[in-house]
Amino acid sequence: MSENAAVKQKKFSWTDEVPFEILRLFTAIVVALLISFLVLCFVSDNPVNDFVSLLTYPFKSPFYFSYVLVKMIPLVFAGLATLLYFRASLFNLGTEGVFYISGVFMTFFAVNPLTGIGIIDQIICIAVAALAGGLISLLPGFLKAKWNADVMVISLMMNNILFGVGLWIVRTFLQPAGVSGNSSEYFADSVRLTRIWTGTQVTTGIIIALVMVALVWVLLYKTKLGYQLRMTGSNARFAAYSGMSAFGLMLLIHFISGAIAGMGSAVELLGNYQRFSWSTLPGLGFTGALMAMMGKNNPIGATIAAFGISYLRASAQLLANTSPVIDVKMISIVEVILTLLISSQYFLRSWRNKQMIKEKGGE
Amino acid sequence: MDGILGSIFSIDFLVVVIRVGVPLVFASLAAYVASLVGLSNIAIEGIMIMSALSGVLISAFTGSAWIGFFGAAAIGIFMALVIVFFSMRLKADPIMIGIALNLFATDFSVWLMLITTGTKGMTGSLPSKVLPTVHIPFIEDIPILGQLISGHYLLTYVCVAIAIIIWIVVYKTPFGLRMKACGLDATAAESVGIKVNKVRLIALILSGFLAACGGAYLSMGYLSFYSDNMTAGRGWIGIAAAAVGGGNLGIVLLTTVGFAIAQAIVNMLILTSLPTDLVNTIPYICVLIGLVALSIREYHARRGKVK
Amino acid sequence: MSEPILKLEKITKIYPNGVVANKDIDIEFEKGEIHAICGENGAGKSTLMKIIFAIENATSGQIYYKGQPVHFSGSMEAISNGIGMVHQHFMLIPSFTVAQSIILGDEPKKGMFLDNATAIEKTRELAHKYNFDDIDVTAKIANLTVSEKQKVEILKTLYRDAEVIILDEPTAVLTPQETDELFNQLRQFKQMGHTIVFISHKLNEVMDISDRITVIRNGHTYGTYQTADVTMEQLTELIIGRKLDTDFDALKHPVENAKVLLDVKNLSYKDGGVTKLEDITFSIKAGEILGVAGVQGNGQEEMVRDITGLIPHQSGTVKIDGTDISSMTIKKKRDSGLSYIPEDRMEDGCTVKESIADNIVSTFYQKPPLSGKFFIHNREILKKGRELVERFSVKATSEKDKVGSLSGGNIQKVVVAREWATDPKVMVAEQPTRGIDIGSASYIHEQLIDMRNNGAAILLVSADLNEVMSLSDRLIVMYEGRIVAYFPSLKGVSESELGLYMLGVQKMDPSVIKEASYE
Repeated sequence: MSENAAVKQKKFSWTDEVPFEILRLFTAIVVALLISFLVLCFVSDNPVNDFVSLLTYPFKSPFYFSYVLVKMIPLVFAGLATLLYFRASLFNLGTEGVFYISGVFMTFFAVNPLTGIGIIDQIICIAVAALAGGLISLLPGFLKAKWNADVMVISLMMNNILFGVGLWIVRTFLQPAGVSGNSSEYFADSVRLTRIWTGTQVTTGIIIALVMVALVWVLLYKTKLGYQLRMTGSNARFAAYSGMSAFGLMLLIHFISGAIAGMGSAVELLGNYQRFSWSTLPGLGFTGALMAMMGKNNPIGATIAAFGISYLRASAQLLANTSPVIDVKMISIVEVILTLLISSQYFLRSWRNKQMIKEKGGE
Repeated sequence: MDGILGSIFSIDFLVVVIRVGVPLVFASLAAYVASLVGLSNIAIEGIMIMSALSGVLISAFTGSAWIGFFGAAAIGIFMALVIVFFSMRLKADPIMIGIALNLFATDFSVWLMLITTGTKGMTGSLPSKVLPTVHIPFIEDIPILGQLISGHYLLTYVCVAIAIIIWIVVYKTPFGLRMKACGLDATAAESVGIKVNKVRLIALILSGFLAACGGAYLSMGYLSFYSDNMTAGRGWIGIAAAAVGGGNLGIVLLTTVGFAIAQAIVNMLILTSLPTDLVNTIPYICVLIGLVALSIREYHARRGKVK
Repeated sequence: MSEPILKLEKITKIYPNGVVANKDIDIEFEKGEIHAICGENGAGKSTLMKIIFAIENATSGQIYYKGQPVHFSGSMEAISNGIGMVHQHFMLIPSFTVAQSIILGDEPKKGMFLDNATAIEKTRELAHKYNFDDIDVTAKIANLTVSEKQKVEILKTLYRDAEVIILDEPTAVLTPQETDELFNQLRQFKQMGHTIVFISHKLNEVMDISDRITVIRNGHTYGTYQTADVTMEQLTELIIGRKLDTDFDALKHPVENAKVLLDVKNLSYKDGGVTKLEDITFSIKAGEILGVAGVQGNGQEEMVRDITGLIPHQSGTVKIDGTDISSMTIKKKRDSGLSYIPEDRMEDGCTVKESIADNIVSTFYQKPPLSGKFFIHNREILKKGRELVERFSVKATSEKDKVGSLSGGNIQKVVVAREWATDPKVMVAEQPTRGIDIGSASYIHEQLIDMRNNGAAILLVSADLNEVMSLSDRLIVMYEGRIVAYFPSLKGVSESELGLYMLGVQKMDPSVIKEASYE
């Protein structure tokens, strides 16, 4: 009991649980930025200038800043979809393929809207994409739940299959006659999402994204399903022993996650595209995995990660015209270092242990 | 269709299978040795990307195919060491590390292309070198056998040699027994003084090297440039094959060859009027079915005879 | 007296989280003696052995081996210097053969290749030399019995020419007869000049086998004694610092109008064609504890997992209070009044990454007031958690602590609290106190008695004969998937008598065994 008393008397210390996590995160960010600066030093004529621009550019004008938000939206959706999988200890990387195929299905309804009333058609489009994403994701979910198949490899194979099938659908059914290329006909104007910030491309999509963040948070921490998910994810045998059915949960998680990915696809396409023109996998699904990891599988964490990464990506993309070496792909350095350090349980641990022994020195 | 059937039973077809199969076998072996010692390397795709590109870049800047190849190998080994370092020393999940490295390679390779060539699509403008082709004297003159055995790129022979060496090491040497022990029960291996971390380190270095060979084969063999998405998921196929085979090297290699044959058939079908996009998915569907079949078998084996 | 072969001087181990596992430990081991290290679970015995074997580093102190100060950098070095260890949990790989398991890490070679023929020959010779002729060195580990596996573990140390052999709780998994056999072998090793370090908390065994005894309590040594000079009573007092009270009969109250709550009939189970359970029939009334004795691996695990639903049910019936639950889902079984303390508390019984509160409600979180139709009520869950933590005196700063931060005994209290909280009709307790400290263990025993007195039917499965014999009202013995003995009362039943049934030497008449069921 004397130990407990000691804990209570102790003043603020960086070795305490929460401050230590913040310190870790901060250190990880500094390390990641420092290394990207070093890389810039090798390739840039004016690394300091480039680096400062990269860190501050989006603040130069409201339009630039709005671009951050635009880039962030699909990452939030992909991050939410993936973190639900990761929470359940499912290494499903299929968000990529689901983004693609649900966008394809949505395009049918975006090109030929059913009602002509903007808001309703938008809802129909998003719902179709969500449904498509959810239903397709049930397949790996079922294979996992029923036979314990390796969900990561299956989802990766499915990405290739869904892409092939999607592209075939686009070329066969959606492409205007007599035109070459891989694009659909133009979306009807009415289905395109409403701009909510004049002079920018920020649409109602950001509101939908933030609502989804809140819903996923509630789902995880406030519902029975979320409780089951957390217990199953941290120890599946314990959950089964406690009487939770893994089978239904697997299917449900896959459906919800796929539906979120589908929504993300629809919001991205209806917000920023005039027609379906993805001729490769968009890469958003994989980035979602990074957001989930950086956000420690917490919806709010993933959203912050999505903002931070979008900030740098937007900045890099805006600077790409002025600098020969800066490109959005360069941000991958920051991404990989951050992800690695954040998922390292022992990062800074030896420092913490030393500090703790020092603090306990008297005992 | 008769034409296709005819060409499947031709020598040319087998040569295509070899050409398609070599990088896949490299990828499968890379995944196999890593999973054998119990430290998954799922960054194979990313390693292949980075090695394929760096082989091209280094050989172009040094003018030597060999320096390019060893540079590519060094990059591959370095990436494998990242997995080792972060999982062993910093206790990160190797799966997470692998995912992060794959994503990194996908994007970073494009940026590297941009700063070295000014374009993001491919490195065609660089004067990169290719590894030599080997013509075996006498054998190359034998009609069918010659065509089959001789005249491939050096890495093809390296691939066969390494596959045989790995088989011998795993099944016939003390080190192979230790590798298996590390993968099956690391604590038990540790308890008899086996340095599990060291065994894993060696296996991962080998895994990184093998994946790098697979990458270099793509960009320094039949083709002498790197283009975006050149690896086209081959690393993942390797991981899938290793998963299907479990600890059994024979099944891993059989699965890989099966995929190579499917891919070679697809390459021919694409020339027909069948829809290309759908035909392209056939090999992946095969792997998917293989994986599911395996899971079902294991599932029933686990449950025993129920009722 | 000659130079001690192994000497520990002021060994102290403090973990980074501040736990002091060992403090100023001084022990001298003489060559050719059987030296017992005695202390209750959690006293620091295992940590000390890990330090000797260089699995862990001491914070301070010095080890002398054969008179020289040594700093082994890892178990490899300890092994090569002649120290061998038989771990409590066997370090064997099921798919390897006996020979492979023994040679692993020090393989005979022909050139650069593994020499299988020599491996088999050498291990066979070794087994013969030490009277382990019953071990087939080409057999797969997976097909061995527990005691055979232990022999393989001992052979592993002998293969490496171990002069000092450390055995960590070697008898925990053995029958009395197998224990006797092991002891004879250990005495033989002593004759051959090996030094045996025997770690145990079973006093009678320690008294039987050892030459000298060192007592450890709370990480400190409480002296080394000649076995011949001390009595059990003295040792007990040294080990736990207080007298042990195992008389549970005084705590038991009879339950009036008891009806049968658990009724198991003709339960059979096959795994991949191998019969694991055959025709298991018994029943338990309210207010009764039915003990199940048996060597591990004789079907107890399958029986428990079949009843509780962790493996798919095959044939026979299981009824709780008249309702057939045999083919129900785990959730339905629990709803019918079943509770289950699992053997493997870390894998099945809890999730270490989540809070005590979340762990403690996992079997009833879906019921009001803890949750509504869709939502959970976190405040109620925390309240329930706090209640149970207090009721079961779990040592934790708060109910929000992660379960992983608790000691083994306290984790088990969390498990028992959860299983108690649903007020079950039937409680299946599988090894409920294995590997936890005596304080927590006796607390848990009292709780089980308490539940019994309140009218629950308890099925108690344990490898610890002491535990089943002192708690049970009635007892069955399992051997090779069958019930081979039934004791309606434990008065006058001795451990060795049970041992004969556990080993399959004797079998009761089927008509007696049938009595295990009330119908």
